[in-house]
Amino acid sequence: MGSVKGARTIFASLLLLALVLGVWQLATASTRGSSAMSAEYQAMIASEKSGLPTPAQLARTGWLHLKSPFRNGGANDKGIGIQLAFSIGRVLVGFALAMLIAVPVGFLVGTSPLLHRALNPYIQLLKPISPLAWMPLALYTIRDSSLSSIFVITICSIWPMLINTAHGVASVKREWLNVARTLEVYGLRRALHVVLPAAAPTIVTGMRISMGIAWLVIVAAEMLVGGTGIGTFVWNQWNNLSLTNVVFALLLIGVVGMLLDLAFGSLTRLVSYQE
Amino acid sequence: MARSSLISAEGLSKTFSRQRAPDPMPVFERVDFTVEQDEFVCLIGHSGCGKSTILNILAGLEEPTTGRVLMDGLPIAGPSLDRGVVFQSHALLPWLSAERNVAFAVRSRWPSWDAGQVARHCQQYLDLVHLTGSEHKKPSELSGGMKQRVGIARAFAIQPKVLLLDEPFGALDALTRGLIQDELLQIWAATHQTIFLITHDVDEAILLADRILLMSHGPRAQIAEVLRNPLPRDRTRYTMHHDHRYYDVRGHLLDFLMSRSGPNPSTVRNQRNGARFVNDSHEAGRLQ
Repeated sequence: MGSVKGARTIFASLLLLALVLGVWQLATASTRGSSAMSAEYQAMIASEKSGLPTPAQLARTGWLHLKSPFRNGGANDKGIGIQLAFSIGRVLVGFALAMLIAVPVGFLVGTSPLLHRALNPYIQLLKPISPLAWMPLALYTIRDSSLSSIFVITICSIWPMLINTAHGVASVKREWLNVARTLEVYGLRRALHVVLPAAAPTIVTGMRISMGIAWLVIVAAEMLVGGTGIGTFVWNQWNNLSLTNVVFALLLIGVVGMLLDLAFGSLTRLVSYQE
Repeated sequence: MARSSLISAEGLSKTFSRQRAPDPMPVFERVDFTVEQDEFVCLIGHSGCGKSTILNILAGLEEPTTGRVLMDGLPIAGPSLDRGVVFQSHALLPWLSAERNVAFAVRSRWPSWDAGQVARHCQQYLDLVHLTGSEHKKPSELSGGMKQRVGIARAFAIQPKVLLLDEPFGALDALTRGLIQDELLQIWAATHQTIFLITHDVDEAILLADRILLMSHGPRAQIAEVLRNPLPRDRTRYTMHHDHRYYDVRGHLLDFLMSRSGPNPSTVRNQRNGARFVNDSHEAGRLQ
């Protein structure tokens, strides 16, 4: 039963892929053979390598990138792997900083209803600000494009983690806290052995949301400030009018985002419990 | 007083203030009782009369509106490892295995113990409630009865001066309930643990308790009678009903719960036609 279902799913997925590739091939190939153009003009366009790539062209470009992902030929010639590593590194550092702030603060906010009410308006005010809107402030105060990107990642990662941690801590079952009280378990031991495991699934869900947003934001941030990273790569390739590279970078961004989400998905399974 | 009781509750009342009711009535009031060393005391009453609140006050989880509880002559202020609690809803930590749930309590009681000591102690109490072989299962993998057994093992394992059980078998089916009641009796016989148990099950009270506190209806519930169990201590579920006194006690308890547990104590006294018991509020009743 299950294997039949699985086979069907795979078949449907492959069918979709074939359909997309087919439409893509038709759409991109037909623009080239336009009869209105002279042969010379066509040759010129081809030599400029502009226009959307066919699937085959994309595969060739992808292969070239993946053959030497970590080549480093100076500031303007870094392998796609290096660019991705820069982006992932910034996301991880920014995310870790956000975690260091959001989880303890969320713990406090979740434990104290007073603090929650007092802090909530500010959280609600800061949360909807686009992370990129912080960039001018960050660039002005930090004066470093890479650190500013990290700051922007931190800012956008804080809110889901903070809100989820506070919610998770506040909704720890009263009976579990009563168990801790009757066993005279207070303070750090209570926080680590009762509240944290109880709230962990909610906290990790917050982290997963934060990580998703951080990965969205880093590309935009790097497009804005330049230097290194996959966002910068996309922007540079756009300026080179190399859409093949842009599309390939998009695919990679998707793959990395998916892997990050999968990692947090398995972390969620690790900390979740069944009542 | 000849000797001081392990626990004595003096003039307890509890009023839950609600915003809509400007003059709220106490759920219970003037509740006095004692629990002696090594004694098994049951508090029986209808739901809503504040039984669980009384237990929570004994545990130190809630404060009485008036009155106080003394333990070894000292007023109770907050929860303590001297008073173990078995919660109605078992209240196991679902992310820990049965063994680690017990170990959490044991480590709280004896923080200086090493892992081996903790493990041996846990195993001893898990064996006592017949959970050998299920130590590493999570609560979600255990049946309701097994969960409650873990709760009982956890409470017994810290060797408190008194064990407080809040309708521990309420959510279990009749068969499982009987089994665990028997186990509880065995453990009680082996450990001589002082136990205070809340129930609404007449047979459970007769089987387990040395003394049964009967609580009237709320609001303004009181302990209307105190009944000393006349059955011999070696009674079991299987032999209990051969003793004619069992039916007397059972009938008396049922009468009380059905018709005489009204809020006003004076009517309780008037309705006592042909009483087989010498009963007085807060006095031990005995069969005549």
